[in-house]
Amino acid sequence: MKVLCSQDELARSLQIAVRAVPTKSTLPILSGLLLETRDDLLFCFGSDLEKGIEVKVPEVTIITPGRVVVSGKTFYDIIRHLPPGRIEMSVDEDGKKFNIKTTHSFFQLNLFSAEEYPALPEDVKTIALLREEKTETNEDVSLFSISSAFLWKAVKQTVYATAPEDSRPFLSSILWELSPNSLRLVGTDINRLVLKDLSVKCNFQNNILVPVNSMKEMATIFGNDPDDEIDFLLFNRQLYAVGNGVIFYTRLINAQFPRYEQVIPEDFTGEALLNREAFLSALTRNSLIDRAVKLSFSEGKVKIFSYEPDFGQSSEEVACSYEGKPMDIGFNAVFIMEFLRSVIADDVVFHLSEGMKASVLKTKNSEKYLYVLMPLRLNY
Amino acid sequence: MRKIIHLDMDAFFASVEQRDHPDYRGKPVIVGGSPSSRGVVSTCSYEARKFGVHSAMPLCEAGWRCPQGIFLPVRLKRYQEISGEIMAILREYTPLVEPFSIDEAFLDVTGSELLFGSAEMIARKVVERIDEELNLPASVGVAPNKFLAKIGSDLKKPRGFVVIKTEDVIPLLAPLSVSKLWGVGPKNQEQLRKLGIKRIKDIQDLPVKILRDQLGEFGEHLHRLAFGLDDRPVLPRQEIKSIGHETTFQKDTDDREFLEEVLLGLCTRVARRLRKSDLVGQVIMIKLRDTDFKTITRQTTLYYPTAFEEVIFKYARRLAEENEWGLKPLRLIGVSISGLQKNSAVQLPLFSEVRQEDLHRLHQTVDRIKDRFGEDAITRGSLLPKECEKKKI
Repeated sequence: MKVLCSQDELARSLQIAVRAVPTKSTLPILSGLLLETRDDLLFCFGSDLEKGIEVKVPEVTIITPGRVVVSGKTFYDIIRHLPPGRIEMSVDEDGKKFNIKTTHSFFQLNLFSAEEYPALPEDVKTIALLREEKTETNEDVSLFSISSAFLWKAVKQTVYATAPEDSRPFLSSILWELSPNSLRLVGTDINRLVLKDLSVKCNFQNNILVPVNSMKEMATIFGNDPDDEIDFLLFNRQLYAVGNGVIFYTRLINAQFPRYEQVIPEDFTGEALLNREAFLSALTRNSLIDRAVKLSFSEGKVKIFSYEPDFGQSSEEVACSYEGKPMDIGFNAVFIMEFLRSVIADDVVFHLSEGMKASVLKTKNSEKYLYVLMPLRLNY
Repeated sequence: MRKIIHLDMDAFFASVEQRDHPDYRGKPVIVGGSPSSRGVVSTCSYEARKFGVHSAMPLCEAGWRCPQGIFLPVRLKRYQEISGEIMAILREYTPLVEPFSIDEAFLDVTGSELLFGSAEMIARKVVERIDEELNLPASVGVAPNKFLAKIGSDLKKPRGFVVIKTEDVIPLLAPLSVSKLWGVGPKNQEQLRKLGIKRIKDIQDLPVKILRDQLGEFGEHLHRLAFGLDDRPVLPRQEIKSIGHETTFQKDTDDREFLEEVLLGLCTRVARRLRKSDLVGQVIMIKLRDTDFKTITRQTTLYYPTAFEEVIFKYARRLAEENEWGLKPLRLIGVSISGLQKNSAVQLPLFSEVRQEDLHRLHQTVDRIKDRFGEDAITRGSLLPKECEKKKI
């Protein structure tokens, strides 16, 4: 194998592909990055078996084709530290060493055995090919397209309400409920639930569970360029996100998501309309004493009270318009703050339930974003 | 340099019994239960120790070693009450009192010397007052740190009074067994024995590097202790770390139904204590000891902290089943809960296997009845004595 490429394009491609390379793995080969030429293109690929990223490296001249695995982290570090300019990469005659040459520097890396590298899903190649030929993707596998700005926002608005490290699958993944012309994302960490509706062109009726960590990855990879369109495809129980020369795929979680509709309350005791920023800053201050806060709603105001017997207490009144009978209710302030930070609206609506039942937060004008949260039982 | 006092009551439970019953004084008193019961000796008086009786010895063995012994049940409430009075005396001399167990405490009197005289004088006063006001014997150690203070109080029991000076530390520690070092239990002791280490001197003679290579951080820790170095602070407010109950059966048993009932009973007591202390716990541990004295402990972490016996029992039984309880007859079972937190603000879940709120209300009501009419006023049917057992009574 012998290829010529430009330092900045290669570094940029590797920066993305290396994200999928695990820092610790039981399979040493996975710490490598696969470099592969197909036709006159060069691809780099990293994977931790759960998810994978293939990036097409732009501005490449292929002199002789090949397929090699190099130490991912080191290779990327070398490339990004090289000065801008042309890089020549080639494999030694005995096929065991990888040479990286620029005008002034020379690096030689030991190669991993490319045969040991787990075969990448055939579908990645299929998709890459389809993308190159710019043909219409097969309708059976294509889900929908969405701008990366929307994707980024949807991820930001859902992942915070989940528990990515929990061993229960429905807390470490997000439900994608696909139906014609809509995608509903539902996430929960068991204490709260977030529901986000997106309008997308979609012919599918399908429910899939996507790992939260994969969704965060997607947002990072595709979030840079807000104008990009990201295509989503479903092939053999893997979800593919494709855009801008990058193919990201993740395994799906095979588990049951609870019947979330049942926990979304419909009747409420009271309804408060609050200024988002005023409410957020007051909660931020009072949660300095304790995350557990007592909210006392009455006409025209909500009083926030925070109390930690060994520490101290605080209270503050925030003006709001409140309809319903006066009530006291405890919440984890952080839960409310995270919602308030995830939206940009001026006003938010707090639908409150008494009797230790779930309450709902929304923005004033949108029905597409809903946040259900359980109260705290306070004994003060 | 800090001035630390370790106070250790002498044969505490037995001494309390002797104080409450003047006719027991000067006689072998064994607290733990009757020699025909299957428990172990909790504490025995020094008179009983002459017969070779010691704590943790099966009661039946104590029975034949010391037939004239006065065998008494454990009156924990009473001992706790007295313990409270002791701690109150200690707190008059410094706010830095760390109750280490029911009958032991550390005091940091570094700052009290200007007010009450030297640490040695404070220690004398404390022992005198406990003797005069409570009529109980105690041993103390006075030293620059907790480890040495505890070594000191242990050196000349009963009624020991040992002041350890920095210059005496190394020769004083040298002949002692490594088991006196904080953190060395039977397992570590065995590990150390394999390295040829029996006495603290053996550690003093080894370069720290070897200890570090063999035992890692623990080796360094031992090395420091062997030279009398310990900078653990005296922590005045030790919170409860775990709540547990265990029971030894009259007869070893593999009767699953019976075991489950006993376990439920233990869980109920644990949960009741949790709620009384206004706590919830998240880590459930069971202890099973079989007929060959093989003991296992297993634990599991709950998704949600709880104070309900229904939840504790569910997980405790699952743990027991995973470990094939009752395959061999069991001698003892126990359950405890740790990972405790205050119950002042409980986050309720959206999705839950049990209706948390229903359980909360149920127990609130049951607890109120118990508070008012006694622990036996209301209980589960399955925890009542069985018909056949009643007839025997």
